[in-house]
Amino acid sequence: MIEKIESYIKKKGIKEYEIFYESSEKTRMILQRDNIDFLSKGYVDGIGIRVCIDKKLGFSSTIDIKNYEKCVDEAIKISKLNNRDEKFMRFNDARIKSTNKIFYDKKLITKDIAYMSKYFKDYIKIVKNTDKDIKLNSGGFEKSTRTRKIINSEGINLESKSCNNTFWSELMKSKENTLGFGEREKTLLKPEKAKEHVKRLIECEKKNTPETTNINLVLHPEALSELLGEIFLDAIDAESIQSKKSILQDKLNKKIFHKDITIIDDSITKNLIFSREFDDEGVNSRKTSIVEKGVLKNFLYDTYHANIDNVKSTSSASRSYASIPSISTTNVLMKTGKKTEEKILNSADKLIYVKNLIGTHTADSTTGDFSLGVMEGHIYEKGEMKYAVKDTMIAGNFYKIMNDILEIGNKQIHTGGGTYLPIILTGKVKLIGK
Amino acid sequence: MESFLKYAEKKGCNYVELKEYSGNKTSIQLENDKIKELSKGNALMYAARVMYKNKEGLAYSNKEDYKQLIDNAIKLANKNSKIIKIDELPKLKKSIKTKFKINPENIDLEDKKKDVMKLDLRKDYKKINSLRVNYSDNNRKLKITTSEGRELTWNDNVVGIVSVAYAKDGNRLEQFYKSKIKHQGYELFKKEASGIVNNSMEMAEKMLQSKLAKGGNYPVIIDQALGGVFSHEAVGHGCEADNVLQGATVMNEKIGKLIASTSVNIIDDGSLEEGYGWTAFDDEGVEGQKTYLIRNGFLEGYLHTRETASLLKMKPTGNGRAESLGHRAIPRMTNTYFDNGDSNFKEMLEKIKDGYYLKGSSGGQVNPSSGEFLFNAQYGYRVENGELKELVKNVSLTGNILTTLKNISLVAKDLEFSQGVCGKDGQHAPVGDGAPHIKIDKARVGGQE
Repeated sequence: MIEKIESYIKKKGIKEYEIFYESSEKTRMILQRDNIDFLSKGYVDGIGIRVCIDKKLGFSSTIDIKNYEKCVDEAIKISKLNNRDEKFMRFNDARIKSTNKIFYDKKLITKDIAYMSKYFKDYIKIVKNTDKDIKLNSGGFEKSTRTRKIINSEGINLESKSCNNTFWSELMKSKENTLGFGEREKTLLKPEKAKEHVKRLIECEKKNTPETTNINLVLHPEALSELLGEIFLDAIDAESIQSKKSILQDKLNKKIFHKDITIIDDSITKNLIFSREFDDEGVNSRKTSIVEKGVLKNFLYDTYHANIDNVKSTSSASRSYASIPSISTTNVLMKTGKKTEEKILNSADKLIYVKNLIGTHTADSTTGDFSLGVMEGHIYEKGEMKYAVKDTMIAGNFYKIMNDILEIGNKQIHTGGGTYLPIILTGKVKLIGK
Repeated sequence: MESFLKYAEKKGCNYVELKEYSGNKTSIQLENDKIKELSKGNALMYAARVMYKNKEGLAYSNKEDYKQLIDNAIKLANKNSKIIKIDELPKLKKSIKTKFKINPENIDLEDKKKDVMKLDLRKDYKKINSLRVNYSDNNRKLKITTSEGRELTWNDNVVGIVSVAYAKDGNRLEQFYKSKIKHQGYELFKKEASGIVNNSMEMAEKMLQSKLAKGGNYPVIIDQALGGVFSHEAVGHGCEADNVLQGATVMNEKIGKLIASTSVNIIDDGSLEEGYGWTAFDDEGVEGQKTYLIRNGFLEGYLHTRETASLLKMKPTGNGRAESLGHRAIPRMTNTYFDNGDSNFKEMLEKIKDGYYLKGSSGGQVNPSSGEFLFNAQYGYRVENGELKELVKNVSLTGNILTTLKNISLVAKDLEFSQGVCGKDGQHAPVGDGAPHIKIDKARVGGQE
């Protein structure tokens, strides 16, 4: 079909174009009150067409692929209506030959409801065997398969498939003590994670509200990932920089974090969740240094924004068939330090160890200021866990805490998204309690 | 549709819901003086939800093949062991059309583009570093046919304007977001767009003067936007019947009990056409309606899907909502609001010696089970001895639902609505939030100072 669309575009005399085809299949299992509650399955595909006529860009998408002619005509019509964009050079011309490297797990791709049911039964069995009073309030399991095809006028003709599975659960020990967990991998999931989930829940029994004070903060990779994603990762995309929306616009090659912080975006290392052969414009995957020893080294680019700065795309284009490409990170890895979690928790006389926050999306993504609720956190004194907190907030500035780093953990942990981070100990933040 | 319903019945289904969704969307993005995006797209989806031997399955696709969808849904139901029961609804044939004055489909894309370009109003604002304005319209149609003889069609139009302005002074960069999205026609754009854009730029520049709040426990006044989010986060989520059935909400077993100050009335109303959460009918074919959650301080109702209503022996409330035809309908809010009281802002201000007046919303989150919530004000003012003092920004409020509801001492009579997008169980839904000014005698305010 995609070849037919290309013929039609060519027949219309269009010299510069890009066709993006995407199909996705999802199987979803919803869990409630320790049982499988609901099953659904579906398939959707669509195309997005970009054309450029005389430096004027047009985009149209449709889910009704058999009527592709209408979609192409619409994109042409829109292009003619648009203003000239002198900044547009060309669609991606960084030709790569498909390496046929498989970036999905062949075992997972064939699995379906039987695998999901077994996983869930094993998971709940581990939970109940550890503590029969804990129940699974709600949760779910989703397996998702995505196929992409990209053809453009610069000779790009690529196809790839990806597949991942996600499990999420909300476990409840008592009304005052519920916690949510999630994991996403492109390999088969292991229900043994339930042991850690139960342990974390039990550690949150008997909560107290601390006094309002200034206190050292330890961020677990889950909490750090949320803040990093909300505040920092959008600020390094070239679109934000070029349109002057980012606080980092004048900070390239300048120190923005503590010297021990090194962060890369890696879309090529095979076992990482969002690794792929090429991005959504067909640019081959790579590693990009973002922060090296505290210094901001690169912004992230798609083809359009890379051409403006006369640099190469960092393979960061992301899209669905229904949208034009935008810039996003893939797998974000932070370099580890030397200390174990136990030693870090013993590094300050008194600290709060925060694993989960409430309302991270309300943080100020422009300045880095945040004042957030603590969903899962503990007060430690001289390395000893004293109690789990409730009715507690922490307030600070993300850039300040990333400069006030005191220790970095020696283990990278993959959180549900694409981040692989260690725990960090930072200087003092405001804790608001009693 | 009749033949597919019969086909499903023949196959042994005791309930069938066949659904069709189509939409045509136009998007225009202005960045400073340049059109960054001009695009059109359409959506099309079909779904079959069946109950086969009282077990449930949902299949969906963008291909119109109801027989295949029914077969797939039956296969899924067969793999499900849970028995589901829903009470039967009466037959109903209804076609609803969103009211509008100017149909966006009748405006040429070129004219829309010109109108959006006129919104580059930066010349009056010296410190604006960057401005992004998004316009969108979506002409959508939802059709639900059920084996009970319900045939419902909703021809809807949604128009939205979002403006984000960035102001810079030296090294300081601040942003302000303002939006309006409604079930209306192009008249919304004509009437509101320039006001929204101007307001975002004016406020972004003001934010350059703002200070950080001092964290602690204070009396606060919250404005309509923030009060709306309070009704949504602190009360609405706790009243969703799936949370009630899990025993995972502080509202569990509280029906008929006094849980708030007697001046508190909180309502969810899916039939309010002017709210972004207007639900002509929900994703199970139940009409949107007015449901009191709290009346004069007493907990009165929960928000239901057909299944939760049946399990709790209550009536469906039209709150079975799904992000798309590919998602399951779950209990969620529509337009949730704090009803008017009899106080006013002046009276509230006079009563505060040392506290905050907080305005605008950057969203919120709640843990319905423990009752802990957080919501965030875009900005606010320090209040000292009944007077507004310095401007503060990005201030969060947290507390426990049941304690905070009892700490509400005054409710004004200046109810206003705003719109938002609510996330639950990985699904997003458009919602309306509303409130008058509210005074809370003690709340935990988050701030770095």
